[in-house]
Amino acid sequence: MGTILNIRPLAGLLILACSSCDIFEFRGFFLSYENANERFTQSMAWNNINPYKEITTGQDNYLIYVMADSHTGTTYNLNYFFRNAIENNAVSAVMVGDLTTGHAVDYKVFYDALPDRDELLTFPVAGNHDIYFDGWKQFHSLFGTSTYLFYVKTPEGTDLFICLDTAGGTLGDLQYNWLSKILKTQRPDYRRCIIFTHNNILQFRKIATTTPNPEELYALKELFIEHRVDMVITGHDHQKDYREFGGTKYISLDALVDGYKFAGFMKLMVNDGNLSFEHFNLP
Amino acid sequence: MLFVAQMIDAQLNIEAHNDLGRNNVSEGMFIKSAVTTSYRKGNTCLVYANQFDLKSHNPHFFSGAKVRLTRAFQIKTKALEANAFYMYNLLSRLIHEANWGVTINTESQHFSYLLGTNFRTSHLTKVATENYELDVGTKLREKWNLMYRIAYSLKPNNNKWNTGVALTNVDHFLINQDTNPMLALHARYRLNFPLTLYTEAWYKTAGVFNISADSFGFFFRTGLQWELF
Repeated sequence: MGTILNIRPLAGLLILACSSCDIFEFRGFFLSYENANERFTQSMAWNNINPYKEITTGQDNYLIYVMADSHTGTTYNLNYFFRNAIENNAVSAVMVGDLTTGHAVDYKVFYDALPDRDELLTFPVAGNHDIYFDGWKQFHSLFGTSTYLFYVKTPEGTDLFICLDTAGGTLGDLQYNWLSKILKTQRPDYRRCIIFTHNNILQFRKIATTTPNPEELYALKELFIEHRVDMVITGHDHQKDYREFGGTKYISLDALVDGYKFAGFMKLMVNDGNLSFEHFNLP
Repeated sequence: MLFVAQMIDAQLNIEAHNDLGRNNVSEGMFIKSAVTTSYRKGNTCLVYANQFDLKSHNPHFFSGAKVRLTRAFQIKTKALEANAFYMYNLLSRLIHEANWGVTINTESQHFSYLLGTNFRTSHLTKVATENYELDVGTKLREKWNLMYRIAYSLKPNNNKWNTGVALTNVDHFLINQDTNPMLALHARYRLNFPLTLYTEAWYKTAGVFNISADSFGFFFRTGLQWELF
């Protein structure tokens, strides 16, 4: 009887680990499908045959739209975001993770909602929900990479944009070393440097979701100070916030998910090399 | 005479350990050492500890200091300890961190528990503010954080040797966010009364509460504890 009692909690844990609902997969508490290094390696393999994009604009002022946490599902807010970006002549739209719930059917809905490349260039980054239910394979087959650069070239200067994969709660050592090298070798050649990733680097408020370990966060903050990273834009928290530390502006976005009372996105303005931003909540 | 009487009632412990490990941002292996001195008199204990980075990307050799005041008490028959601590970590050339908090811990024959809260503030060093001409955004205060440890030992806690496992977000000079638990296997052996040797293996996770668990790092610890009197 005693042995049976001892086995019960373990059996309960195993059942929980093997079970899932439509939103969470509880095995993720113990194990993910691919680790950060495996996803990074696949992203880099894709980057090697698909060069980083450079957007050239004839004006010194340009606009980038940024959203996070659409958790598709449905695409009412997502469609509004793309429509608004196109109407306002944004040079690109960056989507910083949790774009889907990880299910293949949701990836298809999300992909179908993307505007034509001639209308708007889009840059997706994976979030933790995107890799649930073996979702990274969907992300990788549709978008190829979650770790990459892109550039915006204006008559006065070129700005560097870095997209990072923090879907697993860590960059992993390969991606961290890559980022460190990019900042050391490439950052000095560019006017502004902006980083997009899903997980929050600053914990703006008490939430139950994970940020990377303190050792990783400190190492990243140190890199950002040393290499004068101007902005780090994240989602994950579902609530907009802003703080400055060490010369870097840390911004968190409202979730764009349909049905969220404060659903919103962000407009990033670059005017003669000066950065400003504006949060926009859907009507 | 009074001093001798006080000495008989008091206990002085020295503990030293070495850590060898790596993690996703350590850029290779790291080696750290720490020395802890504790002085106990009656129900009160004062603990002071230092950490030294022997091999890491941190340029500071002296990388951390911690002071803790402990008071033992009882509720009915249950023995508990209340702790208040302050910790200062010289994390890098540009960022230092201060942490303070309170915890309460207790143990039974095979289990020990710790629960508490801490408040973390990180700030830029003078090198950072001067070299990068920063006068705003020089300090970050975080919200409260939950500290926890639950440990199981195979043998009763006072056995000559013991081994077990712990789940925690707290180590000597590191307090993870409550959402980043660490797993530690431990073993200890008391050579003779004043000297105990111990070893620990720690595994650090990332992304557990993102429900996408990944590995962050690991380290091995060897240490000794010496009860001087």
